[in-house]
Amino acid sequence: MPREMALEYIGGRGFACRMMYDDLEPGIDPMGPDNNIYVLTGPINGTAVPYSSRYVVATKSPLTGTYTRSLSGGEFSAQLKYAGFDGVVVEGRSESPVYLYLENGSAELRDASHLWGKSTWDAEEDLRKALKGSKSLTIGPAGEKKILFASVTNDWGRSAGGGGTGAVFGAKRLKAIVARGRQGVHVPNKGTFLGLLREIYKEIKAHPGFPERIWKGTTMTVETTSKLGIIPVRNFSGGKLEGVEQLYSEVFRERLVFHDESCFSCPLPCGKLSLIKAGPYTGTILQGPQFETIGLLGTNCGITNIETVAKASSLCNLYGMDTIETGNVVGFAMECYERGILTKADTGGIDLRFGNDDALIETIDAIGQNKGIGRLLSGGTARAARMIGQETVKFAMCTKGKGFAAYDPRALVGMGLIYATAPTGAHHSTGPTLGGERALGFTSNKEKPELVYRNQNSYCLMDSLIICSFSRYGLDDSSRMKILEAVTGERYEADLISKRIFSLERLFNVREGFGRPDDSLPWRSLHEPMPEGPAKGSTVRLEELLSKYYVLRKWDPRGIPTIACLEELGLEEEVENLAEMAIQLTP
Amino acid sequence: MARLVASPIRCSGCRLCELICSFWHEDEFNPSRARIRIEINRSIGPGTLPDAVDVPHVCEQCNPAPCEQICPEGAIVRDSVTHALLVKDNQCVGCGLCVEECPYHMIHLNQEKETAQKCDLCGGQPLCVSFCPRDALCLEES
Repeated sequence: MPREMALEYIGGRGFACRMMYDDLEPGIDPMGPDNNIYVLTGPINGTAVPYSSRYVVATKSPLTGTYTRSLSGGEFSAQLKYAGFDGVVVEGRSESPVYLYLENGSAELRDASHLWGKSTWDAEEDLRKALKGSKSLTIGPAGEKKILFASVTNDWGRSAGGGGTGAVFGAKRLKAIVARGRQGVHVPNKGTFLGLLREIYKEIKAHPGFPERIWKGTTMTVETTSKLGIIPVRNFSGGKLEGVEQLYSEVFRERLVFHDESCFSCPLPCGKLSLIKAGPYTGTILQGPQFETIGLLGTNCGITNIETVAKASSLCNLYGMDTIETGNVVGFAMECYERGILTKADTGGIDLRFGNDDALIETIDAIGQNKGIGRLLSGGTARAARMIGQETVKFAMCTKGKGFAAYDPRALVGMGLIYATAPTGAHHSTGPTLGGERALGFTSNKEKPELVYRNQNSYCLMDSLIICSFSRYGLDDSSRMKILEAVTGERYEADLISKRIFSLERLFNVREGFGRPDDSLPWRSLHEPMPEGPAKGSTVRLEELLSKYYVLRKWDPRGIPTIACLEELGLEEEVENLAEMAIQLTP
Repeated sequence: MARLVASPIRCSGCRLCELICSFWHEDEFNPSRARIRIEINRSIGPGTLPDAVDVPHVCEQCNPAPCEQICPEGAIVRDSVTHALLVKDNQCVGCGLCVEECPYHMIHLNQEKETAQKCDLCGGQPLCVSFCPRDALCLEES
């Protein structure tokens, strides 16, 4: 790895986009042998830096056809370092099921036929028993069956969920990546670093929001977004849902949680180990559910029973598929059913009404096993809408084929711009805006392009270090960079790096044929006013947001980076590359 | 007497204690070389809960101490100030008897130095205690 690459892209997501742009020919089949999987850490992973145990999985997404990157916590990233690796690039395709075993600098593909067909949890458990002290990331049956929103899961249900990375694992017949090692991670100056760590941990403990965030985890956002009419209700059609209080964190804690769980080296245990103690699913143990999961599998499907949401989340994790995409596509199917577009003949007898708990669970099983109605839904919402036809595309709540996360953009318009411009399709975690939009007015366009631009840049840095976005409890971009420089002993130009990463990801998508028409939102978000709640009457005025946003990015009105932009970011070579592809650039 | 006391109820399994311990003693972040160990219990099937999910294991600084008593070289001695049991590197021959004798499995052989290694309470101010974000570890004086 050339030193320049480390200075220009840091690691993690930065490395992923650089390598993907260089390695993957435009137009390749995401499910074919020409696609690669990049599982990467960053320079700070494996150390005692808080919030730092994360890895990124990047690949060309079979769900969207775009670049995708998804992150997950747990302990895997640290164990990968201790095994002697900063990351793994998986090329080609295996004839039979395999897993990749990494230990103390050596890598080996091993037979995984005994694991094929097993749930993520069982596969992980088998690997842990066979290889004591190891950590693995696995796919479940959904990845094996190439469900296009299959996830990669590690540490008992933590998931790199978005974009169908698990389906690419499945297409390569790669069941798991397992790491185990005893190799330490070093920093240049012990004394200075220890001093810095003491300072940081003091900051974190003193952060006023810290205790509440630990107590509620991500579920604290359920109450906030419900009161603001932001959480999706019945396939993003409504602004309030009766009984939503039954999904608030107090209820969640009281009825489900038995242990607060940290990722490795993280002072903020947002993970909630849960046990279902009542109803038909009694005895189910799971990780979570988290906010996005509650929003999509809960309110978006009209479900207000926390035990049902927990069971649905658990099933998705066991099959190994994204809870967000699953909730999005089931919500969509429920609306089709209520409108009479889908009938019991299509659903295999499932009474797919909003708010029908059993129907949710049965449909998830059908998707996970790719049978019955599941076959219609296993390609995600956009594909389902194309297959069903009629006017369903108007309420297929996706951008670039990726389903919305748990924020209705009519009630949080900056998030609409995030959905429209994220390189991954509508992925909330490329720069969430909830906190920032409070001061600006949730339904106003004012200063939203600037906010989105700042957040996206900041997330490019975090995803490259790699550090969790919850590091905002005690850290900001400047302290994050201070940490990075203390770990590597190098100096970085944070501002340029973050913009470089984001524009290079854009170029990857431009090369694949994506442009302004794809930076869009579905008809419902643009033309159907929010019928009720605090955001009543609101729609997203996207074109105005997009035009301003492109100017900030120095992209032309087609959404393609200008030559000036690329030169400023040190991407001159890409100018030539695009010219060879007959993509006209604006000066 | 002073010893580490751990609360499995408060511990959330972040293993920062292991990281900071290995960094302090071995100059690297490497949990496999730490003198404190967190047991992570997640091997739980439907319907069964473990008694404790994340369990810190610490040296009890026993008195009388089996490690001190079994050592044929007299290489494990009690510090007069902290009362921690310390391994004298220049006397330890790495025979491993103490490793086998410790009822808590809290002594290990250092692969590089080929001597025994154990918790020394960091000279009286254990870093694991000061860094634990959950206050799950404390130094108990008696």
